[in-house]
Amino acid sequence: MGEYHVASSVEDALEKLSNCEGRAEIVAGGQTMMLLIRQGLVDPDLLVDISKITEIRGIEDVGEYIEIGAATTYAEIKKNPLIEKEFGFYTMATSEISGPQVRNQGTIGGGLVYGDPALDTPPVLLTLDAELEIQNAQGSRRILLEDFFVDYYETAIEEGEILTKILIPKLPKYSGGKYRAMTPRQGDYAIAGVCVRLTLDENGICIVARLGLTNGGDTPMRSRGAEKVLEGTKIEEETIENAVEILGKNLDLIGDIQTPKSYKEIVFKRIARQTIKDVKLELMSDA
Amino acid sequence: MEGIRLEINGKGHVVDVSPYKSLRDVLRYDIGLTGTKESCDSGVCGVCTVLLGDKSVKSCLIPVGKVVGEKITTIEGLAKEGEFSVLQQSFIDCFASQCGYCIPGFIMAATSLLIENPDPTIQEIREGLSGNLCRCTGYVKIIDAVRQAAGRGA
Repeated sequence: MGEYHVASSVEDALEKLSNCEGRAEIVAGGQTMMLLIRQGLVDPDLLVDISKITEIRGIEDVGEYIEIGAATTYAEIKKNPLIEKEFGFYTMATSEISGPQVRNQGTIGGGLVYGDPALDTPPVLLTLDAELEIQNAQGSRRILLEDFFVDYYETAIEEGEILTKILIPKLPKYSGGKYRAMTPRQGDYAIAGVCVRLTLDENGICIVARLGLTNGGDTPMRSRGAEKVLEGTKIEEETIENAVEILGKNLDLIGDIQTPKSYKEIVFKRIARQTIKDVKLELMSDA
Repeated sequence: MEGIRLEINGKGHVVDVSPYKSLRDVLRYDIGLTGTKESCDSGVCGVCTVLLGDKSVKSCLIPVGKVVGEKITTIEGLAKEGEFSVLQQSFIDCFASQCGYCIPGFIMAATSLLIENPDPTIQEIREGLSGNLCRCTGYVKIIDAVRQAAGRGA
């Protein structure tokens, strides 16, 4: 029978992981791990529960960054005033995550470590240029979230490592964003999701564009091509059309019986077009 | 083997099971509390909703090893001394149940919602129940029932 260890600290968790002779896995909220176990994809001898480690829970303003502990739940993020003030569109996007029950258990770290392309908020964090702190027996290392996603359900975390923190740089002025997803019903996985974050200069020229995509390919991903088209422009209609065309080419979709590839592509382009316009309009009316 | 100690509806239980077994299966098959239902087995439908403390969770996604030391409440724990909770009575008064299979999950989700937000708007109720599916009612009477209970304690 497998062992279940509720870790009291990161050090305790790392020690437990390294001492295990069989297969050890980390669990936080359990909202993905339980599915993997049930599907027979994971068959651990030891589960190390990191959800009660206080040092990796909570949200803090550390000057340049907002730091979120990896075991912080989506429910905690959704109602946090600091996140809402700095990144209101991230708060809005957390409402898209399943329903209250899953948000009460699911953690920001658990939503990242598997690299699941279907989740709503990893692309939002991509548009925010988030960074990760990972701890191992030797110490800790930092990695850009973007470099963390490797392939389908494959991330840059190694065995014996724990994702401990998500660091989100505060946005410069004239920044705004929005996440929009198309789902069959509220709380379902998105057929397509697009997050747009724009930063303008005082003349209304776009200096930073970020487009993050849910279910656009094998991992949570950015459309760098579309970002390049938008940057350095005033984001006129024609520029938006060019960006949306390139975004369509960046997609790596798998069709299914209800939603063929061609349909998904149309949805992606439509959502992207509208969201870019919305964010631009919001920034213009603020200025 | 010492067994896993659980506190369910204010009562202590010891079960001798794998800590990876879902809380739902332990409730239904080891303890016999079958008011917590099973359906999708993947955290979508919400029929297995129970409370950990004041918070709603889907018990099919909770390994039982995780909830040692937590106060677990199931649908069987809501009625006190033979009296339904305000919400349970509202569901009856508003005819909010048809086949009834999803209702324990809805009542647990709504109980948690009303603890956090005692007087929710219709929109807040809809969002608060978005983790639960009903294939009969069309949700209208379920939302009526929660609205009726609002402000009168969960």
